[in-house]
Amino acid sequence: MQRILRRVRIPALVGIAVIVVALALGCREDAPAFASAVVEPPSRMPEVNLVAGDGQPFRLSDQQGKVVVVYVGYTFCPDLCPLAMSTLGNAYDRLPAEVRDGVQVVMITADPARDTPEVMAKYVNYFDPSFTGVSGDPATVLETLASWGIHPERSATGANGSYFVSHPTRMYVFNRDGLLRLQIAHDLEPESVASDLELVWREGND
Amino acid sequence: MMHTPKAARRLILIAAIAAAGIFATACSSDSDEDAEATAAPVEATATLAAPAAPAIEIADIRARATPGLENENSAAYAVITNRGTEKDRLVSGSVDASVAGRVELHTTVKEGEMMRMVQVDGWDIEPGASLELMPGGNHVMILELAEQFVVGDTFTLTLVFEQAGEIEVEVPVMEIATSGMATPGAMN
Ligand SMILES: [Cu+2]
Repeated sequence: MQRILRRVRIPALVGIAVIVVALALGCREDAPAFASAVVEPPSRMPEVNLVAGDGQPFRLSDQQGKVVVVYVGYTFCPDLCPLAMSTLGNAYDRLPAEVRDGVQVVMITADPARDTPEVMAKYVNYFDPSFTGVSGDPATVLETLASWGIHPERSATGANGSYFVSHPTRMYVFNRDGLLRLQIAHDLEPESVASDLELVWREGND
Repeated sequence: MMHTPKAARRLILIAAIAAAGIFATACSSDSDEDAEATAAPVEATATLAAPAAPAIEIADIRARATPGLENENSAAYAVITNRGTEKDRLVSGSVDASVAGRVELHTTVKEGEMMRMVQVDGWDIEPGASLELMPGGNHVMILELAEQFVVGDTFTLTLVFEQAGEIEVEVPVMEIATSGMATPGAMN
């Protein structure tokens, strides 16, 4: 009788111990369940020192303490850019209020010749009034993008000199220390974008 | 034989409807080169009483609402199905000058880490096949809008097909989010 009990009890205790350890390990491993490409370790990107839509200087380093999402596109773009921006608008709306206050969405133009800071301000405001549109002196904007490895190319369309511009497929997410943490695919669902942004925000809060 | 019994009459009617249906299915492509094909979006369920359904069926057409900048663009999306028996091809589109400056057919291509839009000269649509124009992929570009596209607006878009000719459609302006997004370059 006692032997039976012991036989039962020991495996049971071992079993419980295994489960507890597994849960503890499991929780730790499951925590960063990002849908986006994770940058490991988080890396510093070259500084952005341009002009925000309100005419004030925009520096990436001034955003520290917030999770910053940077999208590089242009306003003459009728398909992908508004799609990406509405995804960000939708994701932003899904964030809990406390997280939303700690997230800043920024769109930097890939077409500074046409997109002045004023145009950028009007454009991003359509998707969410809190978003920041960034442009500046065209040469400086293009140099900044080049320092990030982004080289927008123009392709002409029509007879009146209008053109389209190539732009990155991914959005950049910086953590609260100002380090590049994620690269979000432009076609990720808003639900996943929101959950990724919240995870990055929580990383800085632990 | 003047007075056919009710049941028999019903049978004849059913047979006639069936025959008309078969006829419509088999011969749906021949009359479409005529002006007759100026149809509004057609439901997938063709009415038996109607003459042969148009070979080109345009469903789920919509255009993107715009932020209201100077000289802005929009894009229209739809699912275009070839119900005929011959290959057709969407070759161009147009709108009235009061809507926009011009219309182009575009696709989106991915080049490494960059995306760009490229103008194309058309898309073939095989019999029974559908051409899907969707966000992030193939689209009808509407350039140089005369006025901002606001949700709830509609405008007339003329699509030109090699076989079916010109088809006019009313396009509603909508907020277009991610759903139904294409994988760029996947159509090639
Ligand atoms: Cu386009």
